[in-house]
Amino acid sequence: MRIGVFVCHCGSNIKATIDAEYIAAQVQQDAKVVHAAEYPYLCAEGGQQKIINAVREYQLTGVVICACSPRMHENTFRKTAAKAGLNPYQIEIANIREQCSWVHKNKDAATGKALKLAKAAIARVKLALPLFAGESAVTKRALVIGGGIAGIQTALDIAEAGFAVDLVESTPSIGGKMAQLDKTFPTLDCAACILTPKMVDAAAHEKITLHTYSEVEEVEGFVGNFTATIRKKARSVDMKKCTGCGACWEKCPSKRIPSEFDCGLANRTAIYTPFAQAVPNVPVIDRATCIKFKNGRCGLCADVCQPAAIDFTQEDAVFTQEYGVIIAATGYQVFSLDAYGEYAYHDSKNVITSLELERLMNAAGPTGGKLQRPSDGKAPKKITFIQCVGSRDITRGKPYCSKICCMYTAKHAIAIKEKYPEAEIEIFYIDVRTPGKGFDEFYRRAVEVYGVRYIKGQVGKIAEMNGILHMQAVDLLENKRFDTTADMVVLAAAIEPSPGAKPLAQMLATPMDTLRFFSEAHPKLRPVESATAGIFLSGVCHGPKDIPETVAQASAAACKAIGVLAKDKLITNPCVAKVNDKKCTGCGRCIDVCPYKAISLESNAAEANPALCQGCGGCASLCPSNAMDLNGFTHKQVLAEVDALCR
Amino acid sequence: MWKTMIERCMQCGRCSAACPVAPFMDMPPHKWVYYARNGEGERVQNAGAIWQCLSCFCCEARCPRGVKPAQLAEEKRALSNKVVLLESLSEHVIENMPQQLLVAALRKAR
Amino acid sequence: MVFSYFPGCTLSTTAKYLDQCARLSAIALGFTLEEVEDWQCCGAVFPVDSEQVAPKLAAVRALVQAREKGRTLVTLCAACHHVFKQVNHQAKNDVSFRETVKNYDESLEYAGETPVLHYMEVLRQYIGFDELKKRVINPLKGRKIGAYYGCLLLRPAEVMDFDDAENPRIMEDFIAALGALPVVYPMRNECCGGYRSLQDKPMAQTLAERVIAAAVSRGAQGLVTACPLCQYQLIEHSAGEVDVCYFTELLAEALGVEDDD
Repeated sequence: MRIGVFVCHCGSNIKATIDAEYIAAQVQQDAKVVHAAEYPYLCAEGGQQKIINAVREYQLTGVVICACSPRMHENTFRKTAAKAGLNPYQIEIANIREQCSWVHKNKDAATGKALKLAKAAIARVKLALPLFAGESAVTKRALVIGGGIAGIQTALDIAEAGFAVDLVESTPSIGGKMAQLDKTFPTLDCAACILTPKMVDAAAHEKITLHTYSEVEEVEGFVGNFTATIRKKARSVDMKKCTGCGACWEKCPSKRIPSEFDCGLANRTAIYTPFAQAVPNVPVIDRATCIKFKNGRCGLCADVCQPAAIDFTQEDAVFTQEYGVIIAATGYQVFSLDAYGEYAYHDSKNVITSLELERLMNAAGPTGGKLQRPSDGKAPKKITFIQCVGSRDITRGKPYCSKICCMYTAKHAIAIKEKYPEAEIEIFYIDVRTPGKGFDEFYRRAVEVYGVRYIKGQVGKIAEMNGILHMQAVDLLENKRFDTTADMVVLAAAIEPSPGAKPLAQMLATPMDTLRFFSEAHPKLRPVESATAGIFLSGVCHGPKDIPETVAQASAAACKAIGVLAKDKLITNPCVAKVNDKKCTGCGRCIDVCPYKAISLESNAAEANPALCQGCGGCASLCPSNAMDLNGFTHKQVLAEVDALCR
Repeated sequence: MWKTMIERCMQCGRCSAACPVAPFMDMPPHKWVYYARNGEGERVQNAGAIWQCLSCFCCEARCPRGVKPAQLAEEKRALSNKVVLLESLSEHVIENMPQQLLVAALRKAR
Repeated sequence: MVFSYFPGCTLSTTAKYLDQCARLSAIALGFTLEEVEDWQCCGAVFPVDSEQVAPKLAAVRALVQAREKGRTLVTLCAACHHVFKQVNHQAKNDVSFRETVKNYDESLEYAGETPVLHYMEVLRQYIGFDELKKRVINPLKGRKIGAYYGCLLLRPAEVMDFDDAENPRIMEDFIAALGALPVVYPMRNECCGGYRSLQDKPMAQTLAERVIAAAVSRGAQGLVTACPLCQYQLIEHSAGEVDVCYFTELLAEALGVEDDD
């Protein structure tokens, strides 16, 4: 064995605390170390070339690199080794930065520790065997979970690149929250006008298959080779026959069901499409509220349906499909205001959330676009907006800023003033956050052109008495506490991930933070990839964002997905579990512990599938017969490492 | 512990908006926190407002950052040498007045 | 069922009738309130300044006595209740408080073991409002009664653990169980002015008035309180628009155990 040891300075990141020269000198005391050197930046081209030259000059058969965490540059150095003609798995990295120079201040102690870490790596590389990466095939089909603007955009981009996409949406129509909006900032475009063309494109695209009123139930597999089980809930309507004429919902006698799409401000029927531009334009029977399903009487819809599309016997259809990549686009919901009783949201009908205001302002909404007080239908003369309800709140709400509220409230103020120039509007804010293109100018228009009164302050209590909303308020710039009244109050409530996000994260075995947003692989450099290979993130399921950012991210996620789908083969990780079938007793304990279902019993001995195995090592540490081992992290290597540390 | 509590305040003003007595105060609760953070605790101690605090805890209940202005007021009262006793108690006492009113008033006002 | 009971100064004297109603109602409902033998005034306020220990000793003494008998401590007055729950919370979580208490009196070794309940919580937890409804002899039919919680029962919510501090329901459930129509109105959890009314009558007037105005705007004919001081405030500073009474009076009336003197 001829080992070369390279100690990186990493500029001053390592050098400031660790004596690299000393380490390079000390390691040469080991007979097997034939060369040792230190360099300012090993990862740079110059540094890498020096390693390659040394491998050739000293005929090295193993390399130890003392530098930053393998999470940073393991791949880089493996490629360097390959270029030098060495097996890429006969290099070892000693992390003397994140685990040494960055966490210790005492130079002597840190250098001593770094030397130990180097020696441990040397012990491991001595036992390193050459490993050869395998290949796995790629299924050229994508699964997009969530049919809002994020999912739609991602699906369209992947389809345009020539790959098949399945778009799964749990509600009866695609469109998501954007379909509920009236206008969008900062252009004041009508949301439906810019969304519906994309919805129609998604439905019409030959490469996209829509699965609405459907849910993903199970996901197995790994990048390039996922298998998903999807349940298409029974619509009770035959999609092939239905023409979307609407005769059924006109006749439906069950008319008092609060419409989810209208945030409960209007009712729908039991057989319904959520909104007029629904895609697909095929209704669904809500069996929980349908009279026929509840007590066997009715069936009027079937009577009036000309194409005989109603099918009360229809059952859920479950199917499995293979995919190469999966994109999560599950979006958001407005969070519950139950803990904020002081705002009288449940007590008064005239205290509403911003999303409810969108429905009231929308020409296709419950009031035909007329702004009316929900309690008595009168036009409000004075409207108060309260920002940050539940956001930036570490006690009862969400610690984060929901990002979209400052802009949508300015939009609401402008939209109301456009229709009702006489209306008086005041907005209580903590800060006004307008970071996007044209955003600050938009907000200033609200103040300077439309005369909207922005008050830096907050409201402490709302009480509706005799039809008027009385509020306790404070104006911080006047340093004055005052009482005020309004006809209607709009609360900018926090947004949070949809309820389906958490079960989905568990199904996909992908990390999520404590706020139920999907975690990206790296917040700066890898914002649309999850930490699990082959799973990508699109839209608010990753973090609060507005429509321009969502569309940008959706396309980025599509691009990453295409990067996988475009390959015919993926290189698999060779650091996988390996069984010594002479020692294996077939006890099967490894099978129970594997989170990737990679192990099976074949003729009474365990067998690990190298394509599914992710190299976690759970089976190897558990095996009572020592039959299971992990390539690249063998029992012998680990023990040699421990031994070197203890000397 | 209370130092970091003061630093969490984002000066949103909800405490002052929630305070039932703030309209009568010379210095509202959000300002006590602001001055305390700037090392101007004496301004708070000299304010009449801290003696008007009812300890109803609306400020603490509605603060999104877990700040406790009512506790701050009480701590400033404890540091003060001022004693707000009534010169002639009998003027203010009414028959049928529950004695917890007297006990509480004297305790808080010290 | 026996509970240790801390009446407090006001309920033992100027508001003695309210205490009697409570005891008689308890008997009718099948539980006993056994007065703590040697109690002193709880102080009526809880000093939030955590370094103050001496004013909290009376509460600790009562809590220890209840603990010795293995009982839960019940209070009837919101102010006492607030003091006891806060002292309990501090005794549970603040080691230096426990040590200082011991320095004052070695026999007071207390770490918050005694559970503390308000009489209303006993009704909710041990009797149940459904059961209470069954025992009512004179249902208060057709009477529109609002609940006035005040501030001390509800806040700070994590210590008092009484109900949702912004949208409580326990007293409305109590009123409904007695056969009356509970009226929910916005200011029912806002301060009445409390102890400040001694020194600042105009302020106390404003605060009491706004509570009454809100109750009247929702059609309340009467209000029910759980604190003798709130009761005094609302009666003193209102013009008789609503009938203000204590919850034990109403309870005794509905259970038919009023003392007719």
